[in-house]
Amino acid sequence: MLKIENLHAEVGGKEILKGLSLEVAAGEVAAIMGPNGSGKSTLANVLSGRPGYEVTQGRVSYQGEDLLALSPEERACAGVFLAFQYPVEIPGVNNTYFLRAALNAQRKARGEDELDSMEFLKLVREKLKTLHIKDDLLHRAVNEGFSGGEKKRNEVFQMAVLEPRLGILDETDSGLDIDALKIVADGVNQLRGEDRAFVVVTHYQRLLDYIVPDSVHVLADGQIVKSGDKDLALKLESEGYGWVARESAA
Amino acid sequence: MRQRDSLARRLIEQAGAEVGVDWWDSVRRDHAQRVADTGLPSRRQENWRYTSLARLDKQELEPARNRGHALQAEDMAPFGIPDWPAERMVFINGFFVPELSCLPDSMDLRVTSLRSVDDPQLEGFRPLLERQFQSPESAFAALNTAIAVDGALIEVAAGAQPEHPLECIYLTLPEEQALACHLRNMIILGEGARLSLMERFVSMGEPSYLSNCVNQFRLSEGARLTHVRLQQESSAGSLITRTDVEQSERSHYEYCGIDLGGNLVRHDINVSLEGSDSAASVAGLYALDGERHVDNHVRMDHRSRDARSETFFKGVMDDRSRAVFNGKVVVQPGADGTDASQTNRNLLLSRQAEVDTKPELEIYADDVKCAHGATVGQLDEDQMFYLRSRGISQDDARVLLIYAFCRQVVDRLESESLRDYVAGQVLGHLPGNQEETE
Ligand SMILES: Nc1ncnc2c1ncn2[C@@H]1O[C@H](COP(=O)(O)OP(=O)(O)O)[C@@H](O)[C@H]1O
Ligand SMILES: [Mg+2]
Repeated sequence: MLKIENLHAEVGGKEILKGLSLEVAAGEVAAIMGPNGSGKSTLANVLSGRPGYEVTQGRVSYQGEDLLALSPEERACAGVFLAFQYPVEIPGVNNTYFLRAALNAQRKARGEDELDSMEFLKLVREKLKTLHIKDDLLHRAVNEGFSGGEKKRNEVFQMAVLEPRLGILDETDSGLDIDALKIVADGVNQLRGEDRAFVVVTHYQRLLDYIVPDSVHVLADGQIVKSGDKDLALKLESEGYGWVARESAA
Repeated sequence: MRQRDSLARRLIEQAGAEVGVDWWDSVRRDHAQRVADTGLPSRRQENWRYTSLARLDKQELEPARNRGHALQAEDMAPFGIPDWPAERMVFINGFFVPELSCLPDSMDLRVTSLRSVDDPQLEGFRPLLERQFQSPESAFAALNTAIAVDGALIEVAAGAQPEHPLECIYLTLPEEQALACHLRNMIILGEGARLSLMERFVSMGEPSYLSNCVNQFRLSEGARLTHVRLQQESSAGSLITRTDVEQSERSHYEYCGIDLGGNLVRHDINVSLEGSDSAASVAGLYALDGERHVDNHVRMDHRSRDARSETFFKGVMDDRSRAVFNGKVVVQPGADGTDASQTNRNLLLSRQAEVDTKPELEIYADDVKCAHGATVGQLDEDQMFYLRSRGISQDDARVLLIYAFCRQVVDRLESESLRDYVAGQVLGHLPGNQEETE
């Protein structure tokens, strides 16, 4: 589904990704772990097409297509979804209105009928219920005045409504209590299926107790330096990243 | 400069005729002389520093005359506001048109036109008509006094609260010659009276003209005036307006003005908080494209104790448009307990667009609370990316963010029907297809 080859990317003239390669198959959940500043968010941003992140070398193919040739909105319409590490507040834009505009833009791009507000509201209420999220976030402006946890819940809620093929979660678990963590995990697990894939960036092994990954990759200094199964996450948790760095230096 | 001074003189000469009421003719003559002496404002005057009148030179203006029109009631249909019943005064090219209007029939709300008012009723408006506009910066108001023979005269009886709002539609139709229209609107609210006024500046076709209108509102004790202005003038039309508000104790004035059209537009709002515990809230939005130039000047004059005022303007400038905002809060000696705030926020969408913003405070009292601030910025890139990352196109994301910015002003409108209508007009006006930002 996703194939990243020798990816080099710069932000503000500084090279952050330095030849990163990674493959994620349909149906797979890949966890990416790594120390602060290693380039995890940069990877997530490059994959979703954020302006200012310049790819200088390498290729990314998504469902056989050149992902890097697409605009952010085209990527979204093709099923790429990024749950932001720091979701931005957008005062004056109602959350429900925004999400319906997004869903309908995607449906339109796929040649499907747009949902009217009644149909949309019905869909949204179902999603809220299955995720055990309170519906007050429907009436508020996008992320405005949301607590850290509420912002993360809103990301998961959006993901549930948009039903992406490739979900990228950038530390969606950071700063969450155990109940909120379960909501995040539910969001992924409910969508999990043969034709979808997830890239879950996390700092803590904790989340992986609830979203059991198919593969675990360590990102350090702009490269994937080690890959393994879920046991790798456990080892990282107990022993830290030092041994990986030493091993890859050797 | 010369050319423009001669413009004022020529308009006065051509408009010439006497109105036949001695005191009124006398004040007209005085002001005609005054304008002839001072000429129209120039950029040398502080109040006109950022707004040049050079654009008027290109228009071969002549005074509007009451020539009649060929419109039927159904021609007004495009200006209807759904689910918003209102009394209506229609003015075409500067003259009241009774047959297209729908006036209330009650002693609580007396509505008439300056041209047709009888002498006894006119007497009640005499102090307003006789108001002296002496400074060179007020030359347009003086010109208005010298020339205007029509306008809306409104009196709301003490304690009265008319059921429906009053809508004034100022419509300009193309004529062979570019017209100079002068309207004088005067509103007197009795004690505890209420009125909701909607002013609309519209045109058919793209006529070239100058409208120079003066509003004078007098609010007695405890009165409340809600004033909405929707300005959608022709791109070749110039509009100079002045709104003077005198507020007695415990009165409320609430203004919400939306500027979407016009070539050269200037609005001076002068609120005089004369009675203690009075309150004024003046909010505005200008959303400009093309070569439009829109200048809003607000002066809040706190002349008594414990009055509150809020000035809140937002603006979006695209293409080569230019906006000017000047807000001045004056706290006179003895006006203790004043609470005043002033905000101006601007969004520049193009490199060629410009805004000059100047909030000013002049405080001569001790116990006052005044806050002011002005900002000029661009669309937020993180917000843009967030919307696009969910599948919303770049153009739609821009419109969504600009609209969200504008809503803060539009949302102040109390009536839901009016709010929806104005929101629709604003949305329809926003730039849809802008140059790529990447
Ligand atoms: N907009 C930016 N401009 C300059 N440097 C940046 C920017 N964003 C991130 N960086 C730098 O890139 C490196 C990787 O950051 P990031 O991808 O956020 O790491 P991680 O998510 O793994 O903690 C860090 O050194 C960070 O300082
Ligand atoms: Mg990060």
